[in-house]
Amino acid sequence: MTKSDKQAATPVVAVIAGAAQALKLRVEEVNKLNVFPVPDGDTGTNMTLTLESVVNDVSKLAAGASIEEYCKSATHGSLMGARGNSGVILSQIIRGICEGLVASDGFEATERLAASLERAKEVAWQAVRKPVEGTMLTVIADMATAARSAAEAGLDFEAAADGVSAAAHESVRRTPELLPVLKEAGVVDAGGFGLVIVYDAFMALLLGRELADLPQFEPMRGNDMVVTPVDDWDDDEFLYCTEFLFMSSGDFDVDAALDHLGTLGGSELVVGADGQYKVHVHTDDPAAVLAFHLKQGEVADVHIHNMRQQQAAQTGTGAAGANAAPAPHKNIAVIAVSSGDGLANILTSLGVDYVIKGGQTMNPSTQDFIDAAATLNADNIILLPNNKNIVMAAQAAATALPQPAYVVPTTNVPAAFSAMLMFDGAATDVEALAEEMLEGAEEVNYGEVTAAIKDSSAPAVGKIKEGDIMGIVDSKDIEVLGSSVDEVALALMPKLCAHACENLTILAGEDYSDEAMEALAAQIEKAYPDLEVDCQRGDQPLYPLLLAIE
Amino acid sequence: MSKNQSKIAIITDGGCDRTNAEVIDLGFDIVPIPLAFPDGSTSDSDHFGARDFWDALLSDYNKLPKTSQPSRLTFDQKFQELADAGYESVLYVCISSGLSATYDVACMAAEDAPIPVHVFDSRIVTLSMQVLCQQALRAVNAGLSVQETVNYLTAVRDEMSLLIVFDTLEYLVRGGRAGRAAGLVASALDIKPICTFEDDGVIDAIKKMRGRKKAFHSIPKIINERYQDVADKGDLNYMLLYAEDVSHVEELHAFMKEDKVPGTYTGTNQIGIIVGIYAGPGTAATLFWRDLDPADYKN
Repeated sequence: MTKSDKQAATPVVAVIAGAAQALKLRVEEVNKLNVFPVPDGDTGTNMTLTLESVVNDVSKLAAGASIEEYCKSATHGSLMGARGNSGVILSQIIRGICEGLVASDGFEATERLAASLERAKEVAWQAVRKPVEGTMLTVIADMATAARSAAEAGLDFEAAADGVSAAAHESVRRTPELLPVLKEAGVVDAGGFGLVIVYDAFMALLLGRELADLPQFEPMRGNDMVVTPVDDWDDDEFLYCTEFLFMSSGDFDVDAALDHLGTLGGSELVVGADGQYKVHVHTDDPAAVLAFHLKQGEVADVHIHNMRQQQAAQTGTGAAGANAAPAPHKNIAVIAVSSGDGLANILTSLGVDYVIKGGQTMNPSTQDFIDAAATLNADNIILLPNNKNIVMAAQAAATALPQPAYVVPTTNVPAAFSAMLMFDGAATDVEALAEEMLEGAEEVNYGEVTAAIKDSSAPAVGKIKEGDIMGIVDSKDIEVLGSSVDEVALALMPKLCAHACENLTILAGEDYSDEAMEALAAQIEKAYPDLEVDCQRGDQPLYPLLLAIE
Repeated sequence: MSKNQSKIAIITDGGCDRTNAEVIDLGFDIVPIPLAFPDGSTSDSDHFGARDFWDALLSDYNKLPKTSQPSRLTFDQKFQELADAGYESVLYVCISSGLSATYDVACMAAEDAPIPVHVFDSRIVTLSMQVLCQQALRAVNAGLSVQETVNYLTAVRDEMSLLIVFDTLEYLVRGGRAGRAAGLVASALDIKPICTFEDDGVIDAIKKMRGRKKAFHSIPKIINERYQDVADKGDLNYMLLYAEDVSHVEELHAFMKEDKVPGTYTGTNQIGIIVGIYAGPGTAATLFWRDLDPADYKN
């Protein structure tokens, strides 16, 4: 079979799905590259979810759709599914590639490769306010340069594609030289690495090569690479769409699993290979589905969505179902992200209309914000992402929403508390209000206490062992290391309380007791007699304590 | 303060947080505000000096009375009494129409009064009303007519700032007087709203702060902004108001002195029953006003 025959015979959807699948199979590998030893929004997961959304969208196109239709669909799908910074940047790369492909229609293949990667570089860099070298932004830039050189040298498409791949690999290897934090941790950039996996798989499939031939890819059964399209909204027989990653501990019989899932629900799907699978099923009993898999291995990234609520949200009839009254009309509605019922309750008490569950461990997508806004009957929307990895998804949602929407780029939940103190539901200049809210948010000094999930190091504290308790300032600087939560919290206080401080909010995590919090507050009050201490239950997972000082 | 030497009577009501006994030498009368207790008994604000009231409040919130407006008959009698005493007209500095229906009752009574009665909406409450009465006295004693005095008083009122830091909004809400600040009540956090009376006499939170210290700390800034266009700050005065515990307001005063707020300090006073019922024991406030010259308002 010649190359061009194979190209013509490979459906575009299968190529994209294969690339997404290739990344999914290495998602843990990519996730482990995350520099920060905290349970963070995982780069590999975020990129995979973004690509899955692309696959989902393009697979809905009718056979024989035009290149423009594919591009439009892929752009839309990547944006709607974008999660986390890496996901949003990836979505912008996809958008750029699509724009480049459409613009270069009629040119020969190598020129189109260069044009699309150049446009991808442009769009991705534009999307980031402060581009950082040594990230996937550098990798896409190097890929674009390599593609342009190949086009100028008159190389054929296959040679050009390989040249780009070599440049991309070299670029990823170089990321620690450009970004000190990577070098410190002894890793390459996770996003750049993920991008290369996707590119290599995409090109291999496009060129009719075996993925197994790619040097750093484990053998993979070809049949598993195509994800069957599923439309979650058409299935009203079962209540819960249940999705998760499954890592089998021994031999896993996919066919037997599918048979069993068939008895528990519908639209069942098990894809993957080599002990890593994505399971998807619509069921009324998600617990039974999980129990079945837990007997045979581990699950991760579990998503259980109530489809009736999602459907209601999509059609704007409110989260409580089709019969529920529409939400009362408001001038401005506020949507915030948080994990932990306590944090959500405080946000609601301060006037937040909708709390999206998420944060460090699960970055909500652009679509999650749009779904939330659809349940609110408001002329204006204000979005509080409360995590630096969610800011871009919120900004993408703000652009896509039908009504004026403004992002107050809060990077933690206590900052959102302070922002809400500036909130005025009757404001007519909502943009100015959003600016005032940001000023309020910026008054907060923020500290977190959590346990390291792997060995690492940080400039201020040196070597970090898995299980060490870390005190983190502004979600980025590990300033204190110790063995107990209280000890670290006390040592963190001077780092947060540099200037005139008047008020401390202690937010206890789900496993941190009221008694422990009271005792800690008493110690802090003794050391800082002028500080007013407000103890609250945040009930956030993974972080025993959050401290906010104003 | 000299007594009223004019033919214009100055009166106010129990919303000024004082009893007639407490202001006996100041030259104005107070129409008491009726009180209804949960046990069915009734009384009025004239029977509760500030200290008595706080002792009673602290013993049991559930025994606190509800306030109502003085009856039409009370006003009819008061205006007749003033006419009989030889006054030719009455200027009544009334509790904010945004808080109480007293203003409406008084306006109706004024129409049928034996002498002209001008009901002046103070758009404010507590000792601010006493300040307005004292300024009104100064004006009438300086020979201003009723209308000139009203113009003067309007200027004083519009330059007045009462900033209140509530320790809790619970009392305001239970009493149904939270106005536009009501939205803050559900908050799970320790929020101290800084409230003031807006131009329509309704109470509103102009700032919401985390904790008392931050709230106190922001007051000097609000005052400086409020009076930044006043070229001569020599006529600016302020007093401090506390509810049960004077230490809070002393803390506030320390912040104000540290930030060098303009104005002459005139003293620290205790809030009485009418405002106290709605403010609660932890309340601290400061009142700023300009001692404008009545002569500038004489035609």
